[in-house]
Amino acid sequence: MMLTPVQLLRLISLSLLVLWSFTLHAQEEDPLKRKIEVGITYTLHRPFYSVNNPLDIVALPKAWRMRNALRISARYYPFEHWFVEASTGYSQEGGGYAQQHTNANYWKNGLYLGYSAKHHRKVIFETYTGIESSVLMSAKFKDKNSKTVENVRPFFRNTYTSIPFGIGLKTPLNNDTFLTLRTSGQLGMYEADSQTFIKAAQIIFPSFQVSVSKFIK
Amino acid sequence: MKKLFLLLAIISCLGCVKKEINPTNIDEEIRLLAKTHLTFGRMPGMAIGIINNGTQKNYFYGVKDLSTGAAIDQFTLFQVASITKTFTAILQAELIVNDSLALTDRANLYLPSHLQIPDSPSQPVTVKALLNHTSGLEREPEEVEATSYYQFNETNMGNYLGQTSLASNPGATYSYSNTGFGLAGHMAGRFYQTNYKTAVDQRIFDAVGMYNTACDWNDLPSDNIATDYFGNEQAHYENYSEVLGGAYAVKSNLHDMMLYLDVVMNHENSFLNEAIALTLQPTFTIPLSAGASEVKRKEIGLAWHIITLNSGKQYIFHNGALKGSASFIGFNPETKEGVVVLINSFCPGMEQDRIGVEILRLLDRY
Repeated sequence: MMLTPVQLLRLISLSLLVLWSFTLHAQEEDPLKRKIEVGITYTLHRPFYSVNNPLDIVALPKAWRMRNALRISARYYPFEHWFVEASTGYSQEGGGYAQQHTNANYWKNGLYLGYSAKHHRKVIFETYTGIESSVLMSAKFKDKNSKTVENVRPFFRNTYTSIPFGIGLKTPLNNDTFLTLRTSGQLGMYEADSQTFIKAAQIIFPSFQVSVSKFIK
Repeated sequence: MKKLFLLLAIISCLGCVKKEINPTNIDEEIRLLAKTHLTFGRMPGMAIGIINNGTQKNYFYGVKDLSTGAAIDQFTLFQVASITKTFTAILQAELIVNDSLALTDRANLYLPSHLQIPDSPSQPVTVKALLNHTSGLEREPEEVEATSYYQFNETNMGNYLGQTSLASNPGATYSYSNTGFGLAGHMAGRFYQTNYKTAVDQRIFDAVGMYNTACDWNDLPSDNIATDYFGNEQAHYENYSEVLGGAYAVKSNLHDMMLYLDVVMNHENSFLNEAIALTLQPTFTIPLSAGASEVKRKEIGLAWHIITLNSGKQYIFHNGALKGSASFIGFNPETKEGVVVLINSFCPGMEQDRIGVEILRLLDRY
């Protein structure tokens, strides 16, 4: 099932409300001592395909088709600044031209390793990388001129792996709830199908994320 | 909480499962090949023609213009780019079989005084060296890379030749040169007492029946031209340059290129028989690159590249690439089966070769 932008916004609003309600009962605890943080992240990103060729990634102009993603995550701080994070969510990806493109939608799961500045600051810097595994939910080739839609799922692998990287700035909304703005990218690694001789990578750049998170333990 | 982490970790590590697609005939195979390239945004559209078991089939995928969504047909014009070199080679080969010149002649004998190729101390640049990319001339003058082919005129070429030097001894090293083929085209035009575009039009296009093929956009109908793309941006069309036209300038459609493929594959029945046969004879062995384990030998005739596989199969082909177009023509000289691929975008991964070679393999299978 594909969420429309309006449905996504509703979902985000609802999630924000739920998280905000938690904050009303938050204990006044020092965030430095807490280890587990859960959050929800909305992403607006630009996915495109590239072949295994630097010229294609860097020099060839690509369409700016912005798509959405939504994920929930749980983060664990084993040390003061370092965290590991697991996430799962829905990600609209794909690539092609503005008028003729593929919308590939995934259930995206990630494991991340990151660094975060101290949580008692007003503005907290963080950076992360990791590995993501995306499970294909649907893939449709759309021609806007002829208004035709074709199922191209058989041309895809069921899953692909990618390496994300990102930096963000986090600020406290109250004692244990935080708002984070991130910019990130993703380098996907997969070939569509050995029979086609295509080795297309799903690249996402840039990506803008807004997260609301809360320490629960 | 630990359970939640464990669940997310398991989900994150889901293994890769590969789907299997099993086409059962060549139509499905070509559809799969083309559709996958469109799916991954490699090009807006393409025209593919094959001759398989003596039958010609055409396939059209995508669009000729992204903004209108207009479909490609067999008369849609594309820039065939460097496939032009095969026409230049046939034009020169015709002069050779008519004893107007010899492959071993010094090229400078037939070039005007203001377009003399720099001398090599050991060996002069021959006509053959121009036609098999062993002249030692650069790929193209730097000035061309900064502007466009069609803006490069005789004065520019004269100035360039006056200050450049050969990168290698003539006849010794394969080094792809648009400069060499541009000069070869100009030379052929002079022999026929005209320019290159008129010579190739009269001697080949008209004779083969390629009536919608020309070097100059002004000589072609303007109502069915594929829009060229560099990525998602429209690319400018290359028009005609007399001194470089022999390397890139031909524009054609699938209908005409299939006529050409048929004539080249079955040249015994053509009035161009001897000339075409000469262009298909190996003249230089190209060292194999690392990773080409399947290839036994790589040679070049006059313009045409000849690949012999370990299995003994041979493919003869030429490709083409400009900033907004890509093309491929190739055939198996034994089975007389071949393919033409015309694409209206720049292909950074040389997708035209991948599609063309894969279809040549399919033609052997079906």
